[in-house]
Amino acid sequence: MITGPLLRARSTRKEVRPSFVDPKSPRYREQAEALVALGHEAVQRAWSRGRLTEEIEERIVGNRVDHKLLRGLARVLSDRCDFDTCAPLPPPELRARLFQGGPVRRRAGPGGAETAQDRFGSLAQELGCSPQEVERGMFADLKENQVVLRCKVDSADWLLQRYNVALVQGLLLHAMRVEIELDAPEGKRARQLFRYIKFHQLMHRIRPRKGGFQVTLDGPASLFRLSTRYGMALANFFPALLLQTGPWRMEAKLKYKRLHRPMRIDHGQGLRSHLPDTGTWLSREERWFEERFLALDSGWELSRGGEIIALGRGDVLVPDFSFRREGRVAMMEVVGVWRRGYLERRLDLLRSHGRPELLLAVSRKLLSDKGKLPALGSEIIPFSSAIPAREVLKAVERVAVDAELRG
Amino acid sequence: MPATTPILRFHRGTLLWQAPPELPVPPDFVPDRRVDLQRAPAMAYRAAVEWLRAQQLPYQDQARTWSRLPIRHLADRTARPYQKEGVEAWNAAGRRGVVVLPTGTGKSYLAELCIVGTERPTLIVVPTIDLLSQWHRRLSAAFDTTVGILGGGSHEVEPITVSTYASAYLHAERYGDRFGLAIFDEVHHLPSESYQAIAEQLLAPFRLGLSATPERTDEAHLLLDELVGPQVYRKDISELSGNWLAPYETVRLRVHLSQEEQQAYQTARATYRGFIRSHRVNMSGRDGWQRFLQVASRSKAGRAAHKAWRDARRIAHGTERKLDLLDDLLVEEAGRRTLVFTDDNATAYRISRQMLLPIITHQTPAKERSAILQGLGDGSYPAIVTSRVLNEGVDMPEVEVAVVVSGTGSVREHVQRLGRILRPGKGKQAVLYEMVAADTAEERTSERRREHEAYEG
Repeated sequence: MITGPLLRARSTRKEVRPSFVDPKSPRYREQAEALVALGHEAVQRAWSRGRLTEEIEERIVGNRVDHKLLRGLARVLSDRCDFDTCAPLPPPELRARLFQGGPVRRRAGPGGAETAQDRFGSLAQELGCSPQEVERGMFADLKENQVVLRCKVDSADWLLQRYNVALVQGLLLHAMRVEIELDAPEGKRARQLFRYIKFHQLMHRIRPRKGGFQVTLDGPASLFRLSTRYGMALANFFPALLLQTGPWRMEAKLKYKRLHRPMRIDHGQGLRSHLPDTGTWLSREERWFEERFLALDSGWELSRGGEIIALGRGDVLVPDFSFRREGRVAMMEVVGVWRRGYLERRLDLLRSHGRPELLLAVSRKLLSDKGKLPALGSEIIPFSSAIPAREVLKAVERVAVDAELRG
Repeated sequence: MPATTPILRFHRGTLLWQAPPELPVPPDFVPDRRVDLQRAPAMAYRAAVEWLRAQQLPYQDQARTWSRLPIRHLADRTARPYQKEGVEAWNAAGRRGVVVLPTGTGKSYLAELCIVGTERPTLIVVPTIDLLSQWHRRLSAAFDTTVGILGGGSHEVEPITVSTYASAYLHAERYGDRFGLAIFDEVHHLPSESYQAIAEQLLAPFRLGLSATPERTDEAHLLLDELVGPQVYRKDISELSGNWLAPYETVRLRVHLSQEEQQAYQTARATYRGFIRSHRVNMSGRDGWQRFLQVASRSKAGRAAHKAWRDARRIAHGTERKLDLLDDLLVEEAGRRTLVFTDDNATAYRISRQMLLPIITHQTPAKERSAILQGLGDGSYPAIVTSRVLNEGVDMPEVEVAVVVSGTGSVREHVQRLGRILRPGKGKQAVLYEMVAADTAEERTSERRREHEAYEG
């Protein structure tokens, strides 16, 4: 994350705008490539963090006026390096043993007084290592003395992309509340988003908008006083938002440099997430289902995703498919094999919430599993290899409700 | 109890009220539509419980997780009159409020008395890592129990725990249900924009604030009433008898740079001064340095000037001759408790590595720091080196000899760091050595320092 003096942003009367770097700029591509190369050289030569910083200062930052940006890139690089403390004993222990005999003379002098080197030598003998290892190990736990073990950045492009995201995150540390609008989220995408919201312990409020929804993020105590208390959580959450494939807009309420200003970010700025994108692919079952359902030519319009439904207490349901015809609507969520506990909770919630127009297509493997599930209702459509399109159609006809009348 | 008995719960720094809608809601709670429950800041716990008792409304307290903590006080000191009065005033105010006493008058002993009297698990929040280790040391000695630490690289929560404000800010929402008493040292830090969240996220019905200077220029101290309680007791320095600044002798040692160092120093200074002159940077006044940094960051020449300034300072602060002189001083003053100060970390680590003096910097883990200060106190470490600016009531063990190898120009800090720790030894006056690189900017800084009245008399 880019923080403090390395943060680059432009504040106007209306908003705060992060000063992004253009990942296509040949000049910064070159700088980023040099940085990545330096990171790998550091691993090869087992440089300390301090040495790496020195080399970066000397070879890349120098006296250049864009030092803030370059140091920011270097920060992103070192955040993706692993460091290690190399010492024959844990350094605090090593120090305690070295200090035990009291101060020594800086130079032996004519009397041959004990020097630090003498004591390094005798401790080295005890530990069975070299005096140099003792001397180096003495302060090996200091941040700048830790040795670069791995550098996990491979491309200049990644570094530049990550820098832009880190800038937004750095500004989000000053955020008191964040509002996100998603236009047409797929069910899996939206569920993924709420998983991350939960993971970062944020609290949310949802308002449906046409085709999508708006969600407000803050924390438990935001109810009484807006503060930057949850800025860290919001910053950590942000890369997950970038996994959205549909259009989105974010507005963060910042308190930055003592001023209240919004920061607006959207999908059009081309920011890329570094998070692995898991659990959102359209499964084979779902693709088949789409094809077969359309082949039935039933008059029901089928679309992926659907509007989000708040089930209270912070739980939401985002369907995978919506069915619409002549003002009537029904929805369906597909529950795969790997989510047993999830299904049990889901059923409880649905029953207590009374949303009859919701169907669940549930894998038979999950259902036959020890029969622990509550009795199945009509809202559940079991499937093994393919989701039965005809049965879904029947169920849709049965449960669909008037879109206008839905509460 | 019937299933509909209302429940009071702690949820990440807040309180939740779970009850049938027809029941009345305790004060300070507001509806939270995100979860369909009533919510209040954790701080409202005391008012809520008092109200529930007054209403004789049955409820289930699932919020607090502490119980009484009878504790044995191992310190057998008699309290000074003002300490006793302070505790009594705090008790009378319902164990809430701020006690104002001058620095160095035993505020932590007063805190110990409050902990013993209250018999509740206690969180002590302090502003710096130095104070963290100091309180940890004191409380470990005062009580027959393990004392936890939050901050300075440690994360151990015990019924009695000391934390920095920074760590408490991060963790109060997690541990806010564990402590019945919260003590805020240097409580004037609490009303800051972010740190007030610490007070808000703790259930602790009993709260004590300690400070020598509770007033803040931004008037935010008025918030203390709500966060900790009103000022319940105050004694100013003039009302306390006895001289608490020890007399000591100041010896100034001028050290000449080696020829090489001299040359490098001159070159660097010339670069720096040349830039200031050619860019007409006005260095006078408090903003002079800020102006320089601004102008310097805009051009290559400016960045070079900034680097030259740093190089010059490094040479003056850590000249070889100074270290040799320090070496001799340590032999001369052997047997007397000695504290060596530097302004920069690099010099401090050099001294530690070359002369094997235990070292304290901002990177020293809290536990090691404690052990080193204790070693200095009990004599097992005759001398230590530190790069820390020891301000705000940190009391190091008393020493007889202080050596300032390099220092900054801030007069106030300088006096603070030296006044309190120097105590005369057996028949020998305490002494402060100040090393100054001759004919450098450091010498002029030192001149400025000496003008301060604390050095006269």
